[in-house]
Amino acid sequence: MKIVWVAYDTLHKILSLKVLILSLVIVLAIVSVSLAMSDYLTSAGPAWFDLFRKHISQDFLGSLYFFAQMLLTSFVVIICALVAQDVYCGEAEQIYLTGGLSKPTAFIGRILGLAIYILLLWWALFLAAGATLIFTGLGNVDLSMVEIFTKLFLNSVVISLLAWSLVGLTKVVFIGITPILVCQYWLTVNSNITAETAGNALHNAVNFILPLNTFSQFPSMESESFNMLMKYQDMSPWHGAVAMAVFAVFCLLAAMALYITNQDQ
Amino acid sequence: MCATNIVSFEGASKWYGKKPGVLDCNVGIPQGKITALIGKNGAGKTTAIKMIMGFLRPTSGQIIVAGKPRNLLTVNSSIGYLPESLRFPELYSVSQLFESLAGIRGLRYREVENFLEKAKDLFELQAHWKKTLRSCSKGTRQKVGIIQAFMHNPQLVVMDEPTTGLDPAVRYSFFQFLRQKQSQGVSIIISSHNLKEIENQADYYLFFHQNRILKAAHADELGGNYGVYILADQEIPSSLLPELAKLSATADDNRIVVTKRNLINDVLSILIQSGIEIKNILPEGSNLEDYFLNLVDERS
Repeated sequence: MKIVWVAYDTLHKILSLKVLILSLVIVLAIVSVSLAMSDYLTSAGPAWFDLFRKHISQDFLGSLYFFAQMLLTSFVVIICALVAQDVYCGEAEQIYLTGGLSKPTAFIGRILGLAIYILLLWWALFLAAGATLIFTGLGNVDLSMVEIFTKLFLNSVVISLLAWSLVGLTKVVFIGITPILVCQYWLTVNSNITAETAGNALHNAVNFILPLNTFSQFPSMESESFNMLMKYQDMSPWHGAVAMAVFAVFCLLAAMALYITNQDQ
Repeated sequence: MCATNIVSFEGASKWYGKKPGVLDCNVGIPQGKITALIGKNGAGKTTAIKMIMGFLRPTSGQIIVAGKPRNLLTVNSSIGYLPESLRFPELYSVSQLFESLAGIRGLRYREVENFLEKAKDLFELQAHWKKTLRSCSKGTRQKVGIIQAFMHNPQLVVMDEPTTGLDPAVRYSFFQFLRQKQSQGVSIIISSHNLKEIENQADYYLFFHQNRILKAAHADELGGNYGVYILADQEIPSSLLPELAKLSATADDNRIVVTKRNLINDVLSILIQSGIEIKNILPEGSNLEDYFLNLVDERS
């Protein structure tokens, strides 16, 4: 039960008024910009719209996933690094370590709270995107969308654990923010992938080394129907999932060990 | 070491790289007393407190708290703590924070409700109880910090500069509260660099200077007992003078001298009932300051 209270407290710790407002603004901005990037606003007349509905919908979702990774994952990393600084370096954290709360319990509660915040953030984006799809008549929420959002959420959690352990190790919040570069590099490499570059050495290296969800070498990239959306579908080959899980556990244990042995500066 | 010590430093030193934090401490802190750690800024008080709490590991030696050696894994079950700088999540209301802290400490809210009600009245928090911490002043947040240190009924409470941001009247109530808790058997350790404020409030003093404990002394070793003077926001009306005189207090303009400290509450009641606002309460003269400066001179 103590863990649940610590998780609840962590949500309070993360959600200052500024962060709360900024989280909502980013979610709404991602949806708005993605819709603006599609041809939805420029499609002239119902007939034209009906004809290109599928393409507009795919453009919208493609942009949505792209901006979500670029902005929302980066935002999550920054917030996590800031909270980690509070947890590893702040005197206020020491208040919680009185009254019988052990350090491992406190740490697990903190991580649980962090994961709940990230889940809420992605859930808010999912709801906003789903509502946009339905209200604009672009389509419906389908299972693949749920699957992609789940993967992006897991990506955020893993990269946040990396940020968390880096702050724990160095006590420098700026270093905790550097995993954004990992995300952006991965995004750049995989967003520029084409049927020709898929499977080349760089792509394979990035996707094997970086423990994020990876693309599979899906054969449909060879076909004419390949589009941006497909990059996000079927992008979890077994090696990616395993690497991701191992890396997540490593970061979690490292962050926990650093928390338990943490000394005040 | 004495068997009734709640905390014992056994040759404890702490180095931050090449910079000393605390050097070669060998001292015991008596159980069931109010102990004040006295010293200038950077003298080693906070380092000593962090080592007692187990947030810092001594570079050499060890710290024994309640008979058990401290390490980074020790769970602070029966210890309350107030750090020097406080930062609570800002969207909590004061009551929500206490509810959450009770849960974190494995207590049901109704177990601490009675204590919180009393503390709310004592620290004049009624008007702030439902407000968010974001909208509370620094002083109010400090009061919240003090209350949380006691809410789980600990046997040892450690506070670093606890009176920061408190107004004089609340500061007085705070020391009364400490005395009440001490009479219930709670051991209290507070640090301060404000010697006038801490004067006569503790039973035992540890004097820190240049990262060492110069001396540990019981209060009665410090010499005589001075009175206090109260600064009011206005000139004291002559109609109050006879009443004050009965309490061995004399008034001059807006300054009231109370020679017997045990009567200060009665004097304050008279003044407050007459609509006079208290600006400050200060000791008249200072044994502690003289004592500390003499110690430093001797060391020099």
